[in-house]
Amino acid sequence: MSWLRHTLESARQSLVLQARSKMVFLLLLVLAAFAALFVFALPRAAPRENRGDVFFGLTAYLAIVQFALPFTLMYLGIQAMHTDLEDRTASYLFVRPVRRSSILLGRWLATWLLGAALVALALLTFHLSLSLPGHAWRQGMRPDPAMLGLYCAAASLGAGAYAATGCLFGVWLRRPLVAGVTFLVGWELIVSNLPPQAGLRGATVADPIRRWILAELPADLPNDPLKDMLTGALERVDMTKLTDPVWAILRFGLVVLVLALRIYSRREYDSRPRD
Amino acid sequence: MSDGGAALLEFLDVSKWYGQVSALTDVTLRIEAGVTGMVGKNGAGKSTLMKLACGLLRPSQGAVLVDGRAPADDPAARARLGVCPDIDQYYERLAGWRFVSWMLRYHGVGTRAADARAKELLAELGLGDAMYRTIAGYSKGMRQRVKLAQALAHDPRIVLLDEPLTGLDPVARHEVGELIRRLAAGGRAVIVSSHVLHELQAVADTVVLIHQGRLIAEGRVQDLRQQLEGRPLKLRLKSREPRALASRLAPLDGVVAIHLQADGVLIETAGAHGLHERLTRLGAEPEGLIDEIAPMDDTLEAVFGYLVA
Repeated sequence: MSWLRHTLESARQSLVLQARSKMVFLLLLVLAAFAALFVFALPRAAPRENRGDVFFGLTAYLAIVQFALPFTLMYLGIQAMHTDLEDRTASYLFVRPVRRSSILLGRWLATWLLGAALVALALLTFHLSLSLPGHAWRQGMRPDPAMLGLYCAAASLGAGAYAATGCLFGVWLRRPLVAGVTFLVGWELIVSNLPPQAGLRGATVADPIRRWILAELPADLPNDPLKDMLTGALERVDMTKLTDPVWAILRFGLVVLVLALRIYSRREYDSRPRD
Repeated sequence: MSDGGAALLEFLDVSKWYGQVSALTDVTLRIEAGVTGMVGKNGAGKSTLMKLACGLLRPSQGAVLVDGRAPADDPAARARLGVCPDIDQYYERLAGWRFVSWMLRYHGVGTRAADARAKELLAELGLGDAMYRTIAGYSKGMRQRVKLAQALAHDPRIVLLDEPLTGLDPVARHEVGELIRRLAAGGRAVIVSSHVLHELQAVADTVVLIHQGRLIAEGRVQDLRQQLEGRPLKLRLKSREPRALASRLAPLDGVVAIHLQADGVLIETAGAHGLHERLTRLGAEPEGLIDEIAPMDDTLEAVFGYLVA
């Protein structure tokens, strides 16, 4: 019981600290600017024939799920774990009667919740902005809770895995941000586009998310460039031979989290300044 | 320290290596209730010893036990510890009371009780209304008080204070000294590491001297000084007639050197048996040649200096 209580306490404290961080404030500002752009500026310039549903799908996937989600979650995860190891405030926690696994799991949970909430807020804001009555992008775009829910669910699931990766880099590496960026623009980008025969796509988060979204998109969507794009990335792939995307993300997140727990729990902590 | 009382903290043949570098070698030590001062130069191994005691490090060899449990592996052992680490970092955006309360929550204290205890303790430590401001705006002394509070809030049996006097003004140092004495009087073991040796001596019942990773001495300062055979003890004898006093001291057994000063003499003694009694008798004579006798080098600083020389 105390393990669970400590985990929840760690999550609560981590949420409070992260919610007060400048990064979260900055992300909210960017989100507000993003929404304002679509509500006030773009409608005037956009041609009337633009289809909002196509634009929403493309932007939600490319800008939010593929870009904002991994970078935000990776940053928050690294910040949650690495900052207090680096500035040595972790020593206040490590001398308490609390297992380090509780601290890490609590922080991962907080990162997941906060990151998923931010991304869901971005998706909701974007969706509502495009659905405004009289909006130039409104063609084909109606408030669609199912579509919004699909992207939110995909983002939430991916958020857990990216948060775990951020936590792993945060407890393991001296320069976790560099490693995080390398992972996202190197590993994720390259490996998720390798031929499926290589058998490595399951070691990414991007590929299972892509497959899941494609599988869940309505079959009767006419002329949807997102669907074409995702299908193109997965052509010549026998989907039946691949692991279920949800299970693939869960498995990735679990492996990374266990690795992070092992490193964090077993590592000695020397609170002297690092070079 | 090792007179057969119950040891609250034990180091059993402990060594610690960082790769090829030996930070601590074969340290065996029992810490009982009372104030134990830990003395050593920078890099001597004090901080390593502290970190081993609170479980931040694991010994490479031997065992560290808190009430019979290993602090690095057993949360129950760490529950008995209050640690004031040698760092000046906090969650800067938190108010002082909230930081202390947050730390207390990990000891199983409920939110309200933790909040109340944190405020009570910070008020007792003299932080006043500043406890409601964020730590980022605190002075060094205020930060030090918050650090002390988080170490003491859960009423630990063993208190490890790494440089607790650093950054405090003289009044605050005195108050912290009093606090350390009070903690020890309550049956706790308080281990204090400090560079301010004269202040450490004022609060410590016993001292542990560490040099180059080895425990070179432990015990009461005066006892340690007595054991330093071959090191002449320096005494300052205050007198209105230094020359007359010097002539009376010259023939005494055990006096190996006499230095005249404006208001007395400084003598070096070889610790000959009965010398102190003879000096006392001399002082009691009608001429009143000795106004005051003060030992010059039985301070912690002097003892440590002799031992590591």
